Amino acid sequence: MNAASPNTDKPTGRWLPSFSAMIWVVLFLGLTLTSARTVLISADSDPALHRQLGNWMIQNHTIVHEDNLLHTYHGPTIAKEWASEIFFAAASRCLGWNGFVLIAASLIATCFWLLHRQLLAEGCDAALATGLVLVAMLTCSMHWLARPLLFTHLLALVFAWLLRWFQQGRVSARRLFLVLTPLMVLWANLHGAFMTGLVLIAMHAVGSAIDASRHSVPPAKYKLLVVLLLVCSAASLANPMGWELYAHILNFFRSHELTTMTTEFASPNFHTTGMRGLLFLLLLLAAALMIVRPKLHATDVLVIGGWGCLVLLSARNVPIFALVTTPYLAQWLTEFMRSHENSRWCRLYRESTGSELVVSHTAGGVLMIAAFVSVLLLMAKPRIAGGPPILITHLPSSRYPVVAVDYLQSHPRVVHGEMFNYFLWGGYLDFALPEWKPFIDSRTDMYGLELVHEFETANDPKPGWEAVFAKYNVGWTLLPVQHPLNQILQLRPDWQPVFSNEQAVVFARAS
Amino acid sequence: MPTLTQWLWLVILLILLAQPWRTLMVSSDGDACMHWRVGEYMLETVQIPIRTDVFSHTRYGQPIISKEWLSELIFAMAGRVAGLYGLCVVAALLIATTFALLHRQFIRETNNHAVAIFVALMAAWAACTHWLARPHAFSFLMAALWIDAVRRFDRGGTARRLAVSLGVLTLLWVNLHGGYLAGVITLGVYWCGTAMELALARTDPARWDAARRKLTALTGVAMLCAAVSLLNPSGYHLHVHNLHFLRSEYLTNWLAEYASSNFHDVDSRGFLAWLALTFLTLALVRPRLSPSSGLLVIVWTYFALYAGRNVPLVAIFTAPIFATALAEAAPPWVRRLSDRIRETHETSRGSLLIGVAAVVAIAVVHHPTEMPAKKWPVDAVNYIKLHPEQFQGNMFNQYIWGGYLLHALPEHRVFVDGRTDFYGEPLIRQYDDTSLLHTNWPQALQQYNVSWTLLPTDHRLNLALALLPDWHFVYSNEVATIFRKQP
Repeated sequence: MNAASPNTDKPTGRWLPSFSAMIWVVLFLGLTLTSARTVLISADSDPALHRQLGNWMIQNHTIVHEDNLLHTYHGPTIAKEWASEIFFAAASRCLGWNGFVLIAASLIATCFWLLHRQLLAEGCDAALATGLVLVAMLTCSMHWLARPLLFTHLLALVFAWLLRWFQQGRVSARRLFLVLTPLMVLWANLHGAFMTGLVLIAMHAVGSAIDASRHSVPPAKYKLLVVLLLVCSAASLANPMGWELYAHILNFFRSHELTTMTTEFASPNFHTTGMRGLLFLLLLLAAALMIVRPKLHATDVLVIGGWGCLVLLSARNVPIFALVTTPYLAQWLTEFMRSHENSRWCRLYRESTGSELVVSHTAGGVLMIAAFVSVLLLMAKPRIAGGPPILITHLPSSRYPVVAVDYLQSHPRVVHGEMFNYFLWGGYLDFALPEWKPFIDSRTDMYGLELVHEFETANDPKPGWEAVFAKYNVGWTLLPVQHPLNQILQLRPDWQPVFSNEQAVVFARAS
Repeated sequence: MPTLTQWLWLVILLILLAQPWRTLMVSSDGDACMHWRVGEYMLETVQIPIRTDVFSHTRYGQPIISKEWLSELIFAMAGRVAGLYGLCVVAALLIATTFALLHRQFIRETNNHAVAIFVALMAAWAACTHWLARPHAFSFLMAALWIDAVRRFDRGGTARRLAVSLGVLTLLWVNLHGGYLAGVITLGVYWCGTAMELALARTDPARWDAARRKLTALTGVAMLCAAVSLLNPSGYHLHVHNLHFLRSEYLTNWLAEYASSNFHDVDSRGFLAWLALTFLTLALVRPRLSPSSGLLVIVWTYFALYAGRNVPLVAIFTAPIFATALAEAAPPWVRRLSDRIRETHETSRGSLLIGVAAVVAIAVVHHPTEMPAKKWPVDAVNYIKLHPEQFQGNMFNQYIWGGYLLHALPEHRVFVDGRTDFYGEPLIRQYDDTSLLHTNWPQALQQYNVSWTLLPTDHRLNLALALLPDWHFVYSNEVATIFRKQP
């Protein structure tokens, strides 16, 4: 099937939604109506952290400038994702965790809907486009989390698409400036990885300059891209922190210890199942380079090689790599099939993918809206019609200390002093236990190395952990059962367990 | 004047024998000492190979698969002559010879001396993360000889020569190091590639016939290698043992060298550069690769991404493919540079000079080599030797120190050392439970009747032992701390 130009010889399907719309609907429903809902909000505790920060900003009608979540850090904070936090929190005020799921699922589905539309618009046939989008989905799924990062995925796709089309002469410079500049303003307020857009523009600018030096593209192109880079850089300063946002992000990336402490900034671990998609995509790219042997421009080499390098440095870049490289793969395979259309393999492919159908974008749009509204109504049922919710979404007690938190809230006097918590539970505790402030959460970019070192000394634990506890007046701990510090506290006469289940143990200093 | 290959050999040798590389080769982990000790025991007892464990108290007397007995003997003989420095010399000779052989192969295959030295240096850079004085250095040499033999056959060599070469290499490799599986995989990849050629050549009788003959030869050689691989002290049990270990997700996730590369580390820059070379060659040079070559690049790049210990092997196995591709696409200035190098190369007769320089470097210049006391419990071991009466009973030791303790404290048996495959998943899990202070952490100490511990000073277990009434602190410096249980 092809969503492109209608043809009278083709079978008609006036009410048949396009494949792109089907992808959106299936993905959206899959993420909102299955157990994927829980994974979206609970794979790490950052959604809870963002919800808490967004709620605070909504309540106080201001952007957070001073950190008030931890007892160990009192100082300025950089609200690099304030707009998305407010967006997520506003949705959760209406729909609870389902609001997070609704936004995340919409963003993810839209991302792959757009990717599919792009591949079709570039001449890829529907079967191949769908196959490649499935590979991209498999690759990106390791980062399908209800977090501001999803805005980056969507915006990176749009930037990569428009820049690619500008290189191909399919988008005018005027349109490029008119679309990307406001998007950059938006991006700089939605998520800290807005520099991804600048990196993409820089790659295209350098690539175009190299191509211009070899007379394969006109020199005006790279000059325009340099201007675009400057304009978008200036546009990105339109955020509450101005240039300090840049200083903060660059400072974080300069710290080897901080970047390696956070798993998603570490290099990909190819032992994990989450990386199977990336391996498959790399296999396809390598096989295509060997078999198709496409002629690449310097820009293509820079974009694919540059993002390949960034993927190896940080697993967090895997989705961007997939979204940026999939159109190249589609282009190579499409050109290869066109140049070998009489070969046995291509004939077999054409026969197996069947004849082309005319599809309706209107039907696709209606289907997408209908799916969205249906899920929205299901999620909003308790508010609209009352009664118990149909779609229950909450942080699972198998992953977070839900029961321990309930116990502490009902027995607040069993603990005194400040808390020492498990790193991965920090965001959850920010949200679920606002009566007490955690020792640490995932915002390691903000606290600096000293606090991180102190946390590690107590967390490992190493000699000196008592001094850290004394410095911060730690009077109780909330840690997983197998945490080593529990065994040390168990042996100390001045500490005693006040709560324990299969998930968490709370130790409190004897008063 | 020596040839470029000879210079390359000498330069790598000298770098490896100089500091800090010399110390790094033996002290990056405890395995160099462990293999030396095992080899030394074989020499002492003339029990070749060892059949049961005598080095640990946790698996004492248990049957053991000696998969590296021959290299352990060679290392031990070198150790007898020159101590740790002897181990360095063996490893340095192996590594230098590997890359010199690769360079010679590139020159033979490409006839482009500039490309040959460039690719050889890039491969050496990628591989240098694992330049350690351990049996796997033999695997580097075997891999270089193996790929040379396979490519000679692939480029028109005779099946007989391939059979003889790979038969002899299999016999050696299977007794030198467990990495012989790399050769098997490479041969399998060539077999699959040739089968693909056969499938693609159905309409071309001449090509089809050639591919069929090649496939038949590879099948015969593979069967021969499989049979020869049984000529080791453990027979087929060796293969079962290796596959059993590789199937254990817990152990392969646990061991640092089986982890994926951390590209934030400076050590991984060479591999990153190698991947960049791979991508740029495929993207810009656009070589026409045979199915075998294409598969080899994909398979070994996957293995290298999966486990850091495979990085040297991807460089060795795939370097000839990239050398050929780059030479074919070399611009005129590279060809001119190559011609200039060739003129020197062809008139060079420098073997004697290189040989003398190497002998002087190895034998005459003084090379003190020891385990650095800042990283290893050297002073703690001296204390234990001075106070033997305090250290009766079984030890619980840091995993990474196990090999060093085998060598430095032969009178004591360790809890665990680098022979992870021998200890197996259950014992390593027990070690982990105690070491990570899981809820059942005292269990292993009780089960194995541990009466003293030797651990890094900042180890969490020390904090727990300090709180137990029947354990007391005996010794501590900035590296190691010893606790002892009250008798």
